[in-house]
Amino acid sequence: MLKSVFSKFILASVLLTCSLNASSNEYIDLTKLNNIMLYSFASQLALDGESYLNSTIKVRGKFERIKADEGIGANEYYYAISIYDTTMCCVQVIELQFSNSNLLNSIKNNDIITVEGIYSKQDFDGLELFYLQVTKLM
Amino acid sequence: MLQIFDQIILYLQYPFVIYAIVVAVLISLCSALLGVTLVLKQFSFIGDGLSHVAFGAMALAAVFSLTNSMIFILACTILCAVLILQSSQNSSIRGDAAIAMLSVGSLALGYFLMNIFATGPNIAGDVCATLFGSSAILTLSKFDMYLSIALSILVIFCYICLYHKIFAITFDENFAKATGLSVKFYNLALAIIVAIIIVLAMNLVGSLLISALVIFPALCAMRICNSFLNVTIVSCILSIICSLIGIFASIIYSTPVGATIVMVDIVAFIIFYIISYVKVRI
Amino acid sequence: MNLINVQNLDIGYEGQIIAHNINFKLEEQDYLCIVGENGSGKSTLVKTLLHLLKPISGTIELNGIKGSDIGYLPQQSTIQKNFPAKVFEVVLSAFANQSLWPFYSKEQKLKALNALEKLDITHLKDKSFKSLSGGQQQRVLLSRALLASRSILLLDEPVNGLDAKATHNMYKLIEKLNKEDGISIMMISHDLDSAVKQAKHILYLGKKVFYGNVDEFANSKLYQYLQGM
Repeated sequence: MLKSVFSKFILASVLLTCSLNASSNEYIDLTKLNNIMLYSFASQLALDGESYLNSTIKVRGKFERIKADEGIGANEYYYAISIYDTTMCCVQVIELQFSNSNLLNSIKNNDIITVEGIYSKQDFDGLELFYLQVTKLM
Repeated sequence: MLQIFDQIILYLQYPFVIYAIVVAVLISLCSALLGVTLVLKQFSFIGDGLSHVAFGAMALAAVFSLTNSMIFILACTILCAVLILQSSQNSSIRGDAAIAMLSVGSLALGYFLMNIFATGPNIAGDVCATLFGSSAILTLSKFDMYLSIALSILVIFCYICLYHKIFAITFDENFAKATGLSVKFYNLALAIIVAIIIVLAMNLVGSLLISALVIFPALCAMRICNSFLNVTIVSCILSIICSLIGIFASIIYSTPVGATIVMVDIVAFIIFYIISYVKVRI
Repeated sequence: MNLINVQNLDIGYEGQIIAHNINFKLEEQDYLCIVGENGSGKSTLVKTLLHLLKPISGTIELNGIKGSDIGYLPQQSTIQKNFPAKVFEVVLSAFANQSLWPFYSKEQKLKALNALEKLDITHLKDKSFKSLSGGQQQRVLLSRALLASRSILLLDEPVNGLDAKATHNMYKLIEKLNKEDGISIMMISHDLDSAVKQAKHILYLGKKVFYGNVDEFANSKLYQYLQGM
């Protein structure tokens, strides 16, 4: 009896996971999430960016102007929203790109801002980088 | 109450949450299975020692910027498990001293390397996450997740196939040897399985808390069950339930996953202790 | 016919000889008590007979049986006394090495039930091992040993830690197995007096090795010397 329960459980999990691929063109509101979920989601955006491509994402966090110290575009600045975990010792960044420079100029460094944008990717010499194309500032 | 329910439904829409729950259930199941044997053989500290080795291996992997570090960590931990076992056969370095040496040495080496070869700004965070498993289970890459699921199923399959032999060597090694059972081989297999589970469980509850995941469900089950089979089954079910409660509580109340699961395990232990105490009085 | 024929045996660990020049035979339906001081090599001899340890020199000849055909009753450890297991699970573990399949067959379960019946403990089948008395636990372990062999039992201090009544019952049980069921008994014992009463042959390990039938031993100077100690 135990064996059948167990195998049914495994089957259900597999079916569930197969049916749950994040579809693109979704609207994802991260402002409703608590801190641990927000942090985890931000990690997933970086780890598994493909699944969230072209989704519209609304997120709130600390706006930072960060200098890339190595790798692609070293010593250049980029903009990002920083998501800290609860103990403030780990940080995930979601890179932001602005097509509208007025929006960018209206934000000060280290402000807490809420933005909405389309999750996109760009190719830097064969390396894929994901970023949020900001459409709205709230 | 309804609000909590709504929140859960919202979170369950995200695939990585579902994956985290599936992996957590499998890892808890495996830990509980091995926990019974380890507690009875009085080998629980092997779990603790190996988890520190895993931490050291993880630091090494970060220093060498290895992608898919989990395979490297698995290899290192399995190697150390085998070494510990071999050393316990020779009397020159006794089992527990060997474990202590490897364990503390790896922890120190790991932290040392992470600071010298600071590979990212998140040193404190990485250490914290690996040692205490704050949200590691929710931030697994797809590869890690598939690997965890595959390994867990392998461990469960091996345990079921070797169940009677594991019972024989846990209950009475001397008699088992006399009937011709290759106790050395099965102890080795056990050590390797333990190593695999430790590395997997590091993602769930972090290095320092792995012992809890292994020990508590087994101890609870042993309070109320009389047969080895029942102890095994009850400790598995209990471990799964506690982990599920722990994970849901942590994503609802934004608490670190590892510590929350262990807190639930402790509460369960207190409850079972009270039940068995009352049972004896009646 | 001799089931076991031991000649010029030297035993020990890693080249260190603990006892040497051991010669004895075990016949069918024999009752051999192995006695000696602590450290004289009794447990080493046990391990060597069970093929868990290689003899340093000499021969152990087995006629018609394999090393794993010796039913072994080891001394109990503290782990076992508090082990959460049903009696039936403990007894069935005698078959753990016999199949790759993770379930015991009907035949094996039947054999286990027969072993329990032979020792009058069928009623304990589903009880928890740790809730039994010392004497009952030894019976359970004895029935497990019986499953490993129909012809030879090797008992390592089987009455160690038992009270007087349980000890008496245990000796009676072993006698029954020897006389009625024709099982050869090799028993390690500390209790010289009981050994002399029960056994047919005595093997004494010490500075000198003595092997002979029990009457020889009882009349020997060695026995008088040991009694005086």
